[in-house]
This record gives sequence, structure tokens and C-alpha cells, in this order.
Amino acid sequence: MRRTPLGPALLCVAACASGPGWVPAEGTFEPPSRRYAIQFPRGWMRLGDRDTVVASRDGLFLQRIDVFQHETGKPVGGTRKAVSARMLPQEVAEVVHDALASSPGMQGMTVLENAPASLDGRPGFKLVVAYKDLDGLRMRSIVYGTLLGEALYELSYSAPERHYFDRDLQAFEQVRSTFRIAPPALARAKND
Amino acid sequence: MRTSLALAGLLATACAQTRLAPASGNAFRLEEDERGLWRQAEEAEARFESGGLVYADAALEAYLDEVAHRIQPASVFAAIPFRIRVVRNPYLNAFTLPNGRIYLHTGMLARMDNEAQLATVLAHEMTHATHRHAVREWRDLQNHVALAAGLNSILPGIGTLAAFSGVRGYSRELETEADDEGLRLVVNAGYDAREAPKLFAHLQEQLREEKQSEPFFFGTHPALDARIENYRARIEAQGLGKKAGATNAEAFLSHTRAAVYDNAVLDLRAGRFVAAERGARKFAALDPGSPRGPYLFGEIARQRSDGEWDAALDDYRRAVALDARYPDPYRAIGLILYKRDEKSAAREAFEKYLSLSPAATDRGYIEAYIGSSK
Repeated sequence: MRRTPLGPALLCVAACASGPGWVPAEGTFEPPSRRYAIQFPRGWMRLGDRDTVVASRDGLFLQRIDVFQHETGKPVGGTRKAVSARMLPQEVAEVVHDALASSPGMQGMTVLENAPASLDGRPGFKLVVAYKDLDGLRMRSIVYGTLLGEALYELSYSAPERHYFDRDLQAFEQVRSTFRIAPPALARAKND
Repeated sequence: MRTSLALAGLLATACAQTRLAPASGNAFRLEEDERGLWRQAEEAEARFESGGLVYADAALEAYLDEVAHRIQPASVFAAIPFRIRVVRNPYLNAFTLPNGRIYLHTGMLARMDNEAQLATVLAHEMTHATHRHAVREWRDLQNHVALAAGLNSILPGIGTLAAFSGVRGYSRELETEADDEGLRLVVNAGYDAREAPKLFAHLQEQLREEKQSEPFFFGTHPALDARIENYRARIEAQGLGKKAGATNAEAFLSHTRAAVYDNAVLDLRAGRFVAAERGARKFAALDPGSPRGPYLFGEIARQRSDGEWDAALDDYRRAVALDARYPDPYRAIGLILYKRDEKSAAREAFEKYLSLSPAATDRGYIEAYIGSSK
């Protein structure tokens, strides 16, 4: 199997990380919608300044933290299923699982953990999955999610299983502990 | 005149041979550029094998191999070591690598009725390899590029258009050749040729239901309507319309039963409820004693956006009636009852689920439901 040599990959990552749109992520980030706030550690870069953002320290191939929102009633990722406000966290996790399992970039996905968890103190889920990417590289992802109002808030961390996943896991958990969701009414009020 | 002579000269010197004898026998040798394509195929094959996408079912693979050997003689296998692999994917697709690796999606397999339909697809795909379509297409593309370069030097701009027209996978001509030769192989192997257009009609129906455009398998082929017509016309012209052949439906269905179920689960995950329901129906008919059929119906009903809970509960209870030790329906019953605030009955179902599945990966949720139902 063809593997991208580490040197050129790092160069590419460095080039990507310094490309347009990437900014130092250290500190608190709040999108213009004010729907949430999150703090990234020193040395990380962030791409995106709206509700959906991605952050990485060494490049997206080596570790990434994603913040997503999915509107209820709309298809999630690789599945046509949607989440609804009356779902239990386990049912929401089921939709997120199916969205991941139906994505072409996540081959041979297996669930390592699927358990209740909280995100910003709200009841939600934690899903840990292992898979191979399109190049056959073994990857692992953690997804935390919670439903609030008309949206599913998702915070995820993905990295190659070898070396990187464990190395940056603590940083991700630290980022997760800073994640705050503004109640919809509050976000609207802040926006006005 | 000078331009014509220049063009003729270019064509004569730059164009690679696109007419090649079909591969057969021990004496068959790959040409140099063909070897490169085979190497790429081997790399692609390695990626498939390591990616976890290949559907592991040794009995099914042995059966597919048996059908493949019925279609092609040993002399062809000596030239091209065909191997049929099933890919865990609910979308309708089948494709061949130049080295004879044929990949059939579970979605395609699940939609077939019998071995004659399977043979139709395999014979078509095998023809791509035996008739060396990959290298012929590659050379055709190179010739277009060579022609384009030549034309560009003489009539700037025109050659680029000619080159682009070749970059579209197998040409209609090669696909038609695969259909024609495939049909001949199917008939020679003793299969019922009338099954071929039926398979394509099934696939067309599914595409229509799912509101999909034609997928890769058909995307580079003559349009599906035209293809069905082409098959029918050839069957008619060769007097095969009244000639019954083997369909071997029973053997086919017994070997593909597990794949039908697993594919229906993939359809359900992808939110393709109509396709999932069809798969569940087919599986339930093939294995009426299995609790997995009604359980799957229940899951489809529960997971639809409008959540048909009563229908789902009926299905889960049918599954329990078939096998009271199958754990999954209890969890699903518990979830619905829990959401209906029938906590005591929900707790009972959850406890039963955990007793039958002590290592359940979702134990954390279930224990929380039980705790809050006391």
C-alpha cells in the first residue's frame, strides 16, 4: 500500500496550516451567532469563523477537533436520517453512528464505546470509533453530542491511532471542558 | 493537403494499437503498458483488502468462484486469475480491475433474484478483463492526447476538445461489447438469458425509488433504458426468448441470504428506508424462522422520521415470539415504552435485554434508563 512519507506530509500540513483562513486558535472562540463558546490551547490553529470550525496543532492529518451543529429534521453526514428534538441521547448517538458508518472515508468502522456523557453539563452521548481512512491509515474518533432546541451540538476529536490519538487526547478533553452552549433564547438576545 | 498529410503521419506514428486479442491460455503475455495497469490494480486491490470494506463470507466467495468458473473455461483463468470479492456497500455497483479482481457491492447482490442474474453481471465484468478494456481505453486516451498534441500544433485549440472526449471511463462501444460477449457467455453456460433484462429492470426500479441518478456501474454505460432494450433485442434476435435455461434461484438465495440481511442493515444506516424494507422483506421470506427479519422491520419503523412506534412494537414482539433469547428486540421495546412513559414495562424490557446481553456496548444508557424508571 502506498504511504505518504512523513516529511512531505508534514510540509504539506505546515503549508495548509499557514494557508488562508487559518488563524492562531489560542483563547476563547465565539462564533458570530453566539451559539457557543470554546477555548483552544496555545499552539493550535483554527479554520473557520462561523458555527462550524476545525482546529489542529500539527495539521488535519495528525489531529483535529471539529465543532459542528446539525439542525433537527435535516440529514446528518453520510445518512439521510435526521435527529429530532424528542430523541433520547442514545437515539441521537445512533444517528451519528450511522452518519459516520455511511461515510465513504470511514472504512471498517467499529464502535469502541457508546455511553451517556455530558457536554456543557447537558445530557448527551460519547461515541468512540475506530476505522481506516481512504489511505488505509488506522484512525480513531471521539464524538460528544447533545441536543438543545433545534440543534445537535457535536464536538469531535480525530487522530491516527498510532502515537497521535493518545498524545492529544488530554488536550481535547481540556477543550471539551471549556465548551459552553448558549441557550437559544440567550444566543438570539446576544445577537440582537 | 499539407495538413492532411501531417495528420496522417501523426496518426500512423503516434497511435498505439487499441485492437488486442482477448486474453486466454498459458501463453498470454501482458504488454508493457498493460503491466503498469495491472500493478496499479494490485495496489488498489491491496487498499480494498486492508480497508475493511470487503465482506467476509468464505462460503459466499466459494460460490461466486464456482459461478465464475461456470462462465469462463480454465484456459481463460490461466490468463486472468479472476477472483470475485463482495464489498460491504448498499449502493448498486460492480466493477473490475484489469487483473481480474471483480468487486460486487452487497447492494447489487441483494437486488438479484437468481444465479442467472449474477452470471449476467459477472460475465459482463469478466469481459472487461478478458477483452483488455482497461489498456484499450488507456491507449485510446493516449491516442487522443497524441492526436490533440498534433492537432494543437496545426490547428490550435481543436485537439484539446478531442482529448477530453476520451476521458469518461469505458466507452459506450466497450460497454456494449461487454454486454454482447457477456450474454453469449451466459447462454453458453446454460443460464436463462431472459433473466438479464429483468435484473436491469430491478435496478432501474430501485434507482427510481431512491430518486438517484445512475450510479457508477451504469454511469459510463449506455443509459439503462437503452441497455434493457439492447438485451431484449439481442435475446429476440438470437431466438433466446423462448429458450429456458437455468436460473438456480435456490442455490443463489441460500448463499446470499446473510448478505441480504447485512445489506438491509447498511441501507437502514444510510437512511434508505425503502431499500431497507425491501431487503428486510426478502430476508424474512428467505428465513421466516429468524427473529432478525421482524426485528429489522421494527427498527425501520422505529427509526423513520415519523417513528411508527405501534408497528415497531408489533414487529419486535414477533421477533421475541420467534426467539425469546434474542436480546435486541427487548432493548428496542424498552426504548419505545420508556419514551411513552410506561416506565415499569420499559424497565422490565431493559432488564431482560441486559440479562441476555451482559456485554452490551450500550449498557451505560440502559442502566441509566433502569435507574430512572425505579
